[in-house]
Amino acid sequence: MLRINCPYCGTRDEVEFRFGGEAGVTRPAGSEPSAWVRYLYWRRSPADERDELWLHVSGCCRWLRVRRDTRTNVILGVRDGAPGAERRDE
Amino acid sequence: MNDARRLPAGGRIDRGRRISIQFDGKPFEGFAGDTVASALLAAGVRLVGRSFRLHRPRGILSAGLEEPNALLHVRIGRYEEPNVRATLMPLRPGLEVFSQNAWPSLRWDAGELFDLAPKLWSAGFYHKTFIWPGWHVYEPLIRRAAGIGRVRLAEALAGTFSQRDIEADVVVCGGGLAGAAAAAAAARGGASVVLVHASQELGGRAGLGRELTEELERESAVQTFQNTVAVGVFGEKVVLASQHLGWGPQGPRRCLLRIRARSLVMATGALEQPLAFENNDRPGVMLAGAVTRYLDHYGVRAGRAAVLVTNHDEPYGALERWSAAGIAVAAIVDSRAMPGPGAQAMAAMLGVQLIAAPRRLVVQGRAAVRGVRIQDASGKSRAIACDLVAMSGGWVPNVNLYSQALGTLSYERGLHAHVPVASVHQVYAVGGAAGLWDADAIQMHATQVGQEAAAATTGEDGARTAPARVPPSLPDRPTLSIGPTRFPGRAHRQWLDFQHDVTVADASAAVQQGYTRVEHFKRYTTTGMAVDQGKTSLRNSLDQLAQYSGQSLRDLKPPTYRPPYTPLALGAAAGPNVGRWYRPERCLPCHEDHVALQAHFDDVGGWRRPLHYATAATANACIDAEVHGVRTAAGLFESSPLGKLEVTGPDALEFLDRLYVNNLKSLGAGRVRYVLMLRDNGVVMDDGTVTRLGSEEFMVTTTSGNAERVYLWMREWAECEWPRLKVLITRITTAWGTVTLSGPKARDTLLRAGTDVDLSPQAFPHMTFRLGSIARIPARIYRVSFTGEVSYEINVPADRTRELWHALQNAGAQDHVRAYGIDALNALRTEKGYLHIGADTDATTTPLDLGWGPLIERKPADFIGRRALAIAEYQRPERLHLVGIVAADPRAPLLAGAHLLQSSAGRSEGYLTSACFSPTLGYAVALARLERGRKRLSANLLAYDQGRTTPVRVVSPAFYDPENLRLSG
Repeated sequence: MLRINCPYCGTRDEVEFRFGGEAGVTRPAGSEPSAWVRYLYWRRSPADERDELWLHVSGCCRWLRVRRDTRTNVILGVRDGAPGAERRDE
Repeated sequence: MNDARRLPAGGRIDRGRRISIQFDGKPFEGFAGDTVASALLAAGVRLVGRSFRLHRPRGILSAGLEEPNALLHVRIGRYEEPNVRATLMPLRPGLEVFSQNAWPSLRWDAGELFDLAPKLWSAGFYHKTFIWPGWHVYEPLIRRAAGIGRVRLAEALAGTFSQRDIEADVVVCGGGLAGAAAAAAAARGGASVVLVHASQELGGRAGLGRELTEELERESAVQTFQNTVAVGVFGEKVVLASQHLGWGPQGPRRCLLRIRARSLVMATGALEQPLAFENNDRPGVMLAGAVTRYLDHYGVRAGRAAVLVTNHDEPYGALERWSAAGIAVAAIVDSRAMPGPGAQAMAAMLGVQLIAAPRRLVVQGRAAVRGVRIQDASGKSRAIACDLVAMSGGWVPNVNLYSQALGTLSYERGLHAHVPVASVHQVYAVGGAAGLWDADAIQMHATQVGQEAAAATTGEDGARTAPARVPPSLPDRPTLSIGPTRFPGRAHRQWLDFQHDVTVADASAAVQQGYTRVEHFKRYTTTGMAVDQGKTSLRNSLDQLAQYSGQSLRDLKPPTYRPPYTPLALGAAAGPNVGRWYRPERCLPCHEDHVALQAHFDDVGGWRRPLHYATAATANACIDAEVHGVRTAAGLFESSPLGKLEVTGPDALEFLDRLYVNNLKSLGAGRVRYVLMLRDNGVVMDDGTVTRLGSEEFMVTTTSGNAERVYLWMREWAECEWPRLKVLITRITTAWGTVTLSGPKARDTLLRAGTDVDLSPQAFPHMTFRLGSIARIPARIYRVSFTGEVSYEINVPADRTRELWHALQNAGAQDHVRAYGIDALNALRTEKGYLHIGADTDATTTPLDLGWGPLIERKPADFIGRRALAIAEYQRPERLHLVGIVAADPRAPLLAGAHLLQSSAGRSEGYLTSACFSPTLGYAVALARLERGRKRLSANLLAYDQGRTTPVRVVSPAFYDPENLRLSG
C-alpha cells in the first residue's frame, strides 16, 4: 500500500485516497473527433515515472498531483493538483 | 502404538505426552510436538492424498510449507478446514484429518482412471481435448472434477478471526539463524523490529545457539510473532501475515497482521528441489532434506531402506547420519557422470553402490515405493528394493517474498538458480534466501544487513536513502556443481509440478506449440500456479523450458511472483467485518417510525430503507394498497437519502449550466428544473433537480445512490478544470431530512398540519420552491413529483424529521394518508413512465436515446458530454430508445430483462428495463430500450423470457395520466 504525503494533511495511507488516473490529459477546446477520442480514451500508461491525480477523499478532499514510478511504486513528489490541473480519465 | 518407525530417543518431541488423532477414521498416536506428517510417517503411512488432475496416489514430500501433496481436510470439534498442509499441522487432542480428492476411498480412487489416459489431460487440455462438439458439453463435468478440497462454510467460519495493523522500522520474515541474527542486529542499531516466524520455535535448518536466543528474548525492541506465516508483500513494504493464536472452544483463533515496514529483511531460507525421473511422484519419494529433518526433529525414520537420487554433493553428507539411525542406504543415483571426490569417498566409506549418469531411472510401486529400476551408463539394468527414495535437486533461494517486494533476481551458476540482487526499496535478503549456506557466513552477513536495515530507517518518515543492495561484504555463495535436473526416461511419467500434475512431456509440448516465453509457458502448463506457488516446481520447470527451447536457465527471467505466498483462509481475510459488521449501517431519521409501521427493510444504496409496510398478507398486496393510497388519497414517503448539494457563489449558475444538459440560464428564482448530467463521453450519469434559491444560490438534488459520486464529480471539475470559477459546493444530504407527501389529498393534509405557505396551485405551482414552515418546523418545500401526483418534497433539519413525520401522519389520518415504500414508489414511477437511472439506463445510454435531442438543440452553451454526442455511434438510427411496453393480453405479466423480438426466431432488438403490474391501470406495464424505438410506436413484438414469449405492443412510455393533469393540479 502506498503512502502519500498530502501537502495539507501529512503522510497518509493509500486507503484514504481515490485514484484519478494519469495527469496531463487536456480537454480539447474544439470538437475534432480524433482529439476528442484521444482525450476520452487514450492514455500513455508508461513503465516509467509519471504524474497522476489522487483525490484525498477521506482527508482534505483536494485533488493532488503525485509523481510515481509505475515500476517501483516509489513516490517522488506530491503537490496540489489545482489550479490548472489537467483532466483525468474516468 | 503403531510407530514402528519411531526412534527410541531423540527429536524435539515431548515423549511424555501422547496424543491420539484420526486419519480417514483410523486412530493414530503421536507425541506433542509432532506434526500430522511426522505422526503418519512414524506409523508407516505412505499414501495420504490424490493428485489434482490425474488422481495419482501421493505421499508426503517435504517437511515444511512447500508441501505440494499432503493437503488434508482437518476437523476439530465443529471446526473444519480443507487443504491444510500435514507438514505444518501440529497434533492436538480431538484432531481428525481426512484425505481429499479421492472417491470412493483413498486406496481405490475411481479418479485414477484419469491416469490411464494422461494425454487427454495434457497441458492446455481445455482448449484441445474437449472441442467436439463443444466445450460446454464437458464443462459441467470438468468443473465438478476440478479443484481440491471442499469448503464447509459454516464450519470454516466457526473460527475466530481478528485483524491488526502493526508498524516497525525493520520487519524480518523468517526466524531461522539469518532472520534472528538480522533482527538482533537491527534492534542493536536502535530500530523497532518485528520478527515473523512460521512455527512455534525460532530456528530453521540450523539452530540459533544460546547467545542469540537469549538476546532476542531480552531485547524489548524485537516483537516476535511465532506461528505466523507471511501471505504476501503488498505495494510498498506492507507484509500481510496470518498468525495462529491457538484454539478456542469453536475453532482456531487467527489474526491477520498488516505489518508496515520501513526496511524489510527476507530470511525465508532455501527450498530443496525435487528431480525429474520416472514415477518420481510415488508415495515414498521424498526430499532428502526432509528425511533428515524427520530424523532430527521428530525421531522418525522415513523409511527402512533408501535410495538417494541426487545431482550434487550436499546430500551425501547426511548419509552417515541416516545409516546410524537405521535407514539403510541401498544405493546412490547421481545424474552427473562425475560426482565430486568427497561424494565418491563417502559412498565408498559407507560401502554403497554409486550409479552415475544412468540411462534410465524408474520408481516401482503404486501406492508405496517398492524399489527402483536402474539402467546404468553401460546399459546394464538392475532392480534395487527400497521403501524410500530420497531426492535432492539442489537448494534454491526462496525468493518469492523478496521478488514480491520488487527485488530483482539474477542467475547464479553455482546454485543453478536465481538469487536476489537488489531492490529499489529497503528490502534485503539474508541466509538461504540470499543463496548462502555456511552458518558462520550467514550469521556475519545477516548481522551486517540488520545494521544496515536499521540505519536505512533513521531518516525522516518517507525519506529515502540509497537503494538497498545486498551489501558488498556478501560472502561467497557455495558452488554445488549442480548436475542435470532430469534423468533420461519417459517424459510423461516424470513430474515437474506435483500439485498441478505437470510433467516433462507437458513442458515439451508447450515449447513445441510455441510457448517459449516464461509467462506464456507458465500459463499454458499451469506450472507453479497451484496453491504451493511453484515452491518445489518452478526451477525444474524453467530448466525444462530452457532445455527444450534451446535456451539456458540463465537467459530466463523467473515469472512474476504474486501473493498469496501461502494460502490464506477467507475468514481471516474478512476478519470480523462480516454480516452486520460488513459496513456501518445507515438508518433513516424516521427509522423507528418505519419499524413501528412494520416496514420490511432492505439495503438500498447503503441505507436501510422500507421496501413496503406489512399491512396485508402478501408483499404484492401491500404494494398495491400503497400505490392505491397515493393515487386516491395521499402517501407519505421518507426520501431523506436523496442527495442534496448546495452550490453557491458568483459563478454558481455558469458552473451548473456547464455541468447539466439543461439550459439553466433561464431558471428563475424559486423555480425547480428536472436535470440530466452526462459524463464527458456523452453517457447519462445522473438525474436530479436544480432549484434556484437566489441569484447566486442553488440547491441540487441527485439520485440517492449517486450523492457522493456527483459531489466528487462537481469538486473535480471545479478544482481541476475550471479553477477560476468562483463556486462553493456543500454536501447537505444528511443535514436535511426529507419527507414527500404525494397524492390528491396532499394539499389538504398540509393545510391541516399547519403552514404559512400559500399552497394554492396558482401561488405554488408544480416545479417551484417555497421557504416556509410546516407544523411550525422551518422547511424548504419543493413541488416536484416522482409519482405523477401532486407532491410536496419537504426538507427540514434532520433532527426534526420525525416531528414532521408525526405531524403529517396525524394531519392525514382522516384522509387515510398512509406510508409507502420503495416498491410502491417504483410501481408509481413506472406507471408514469419516469426513468430510474441505473435501471432504465446503463453505461451506453445517451440523452439522445432518451429523446432529449430537441432540448439539447435549444441549449446555446456547451456542457459536459455535449461534444461527444456528435460522434457517429450516437447518431445511428438503430440506437436503443426508451419506450413503453404493454402486453397484448391485459392479464399477461411482464418481467424486466425480457428480450424484445420481431418473431420467435428473431434476434433480440431490445429488452425490458423496468416492469410492474400496475394496480391503477389493472395490467402490466414496462419501460424498455428498443432499437429505433421512437419510430416504432404501436408495433407488435414478442417479449421473450426464459423460453416463454408474450405478445406485446410498443407505446409511449407515459402510461398513466399522459397529459399530466393530476401533476399540476
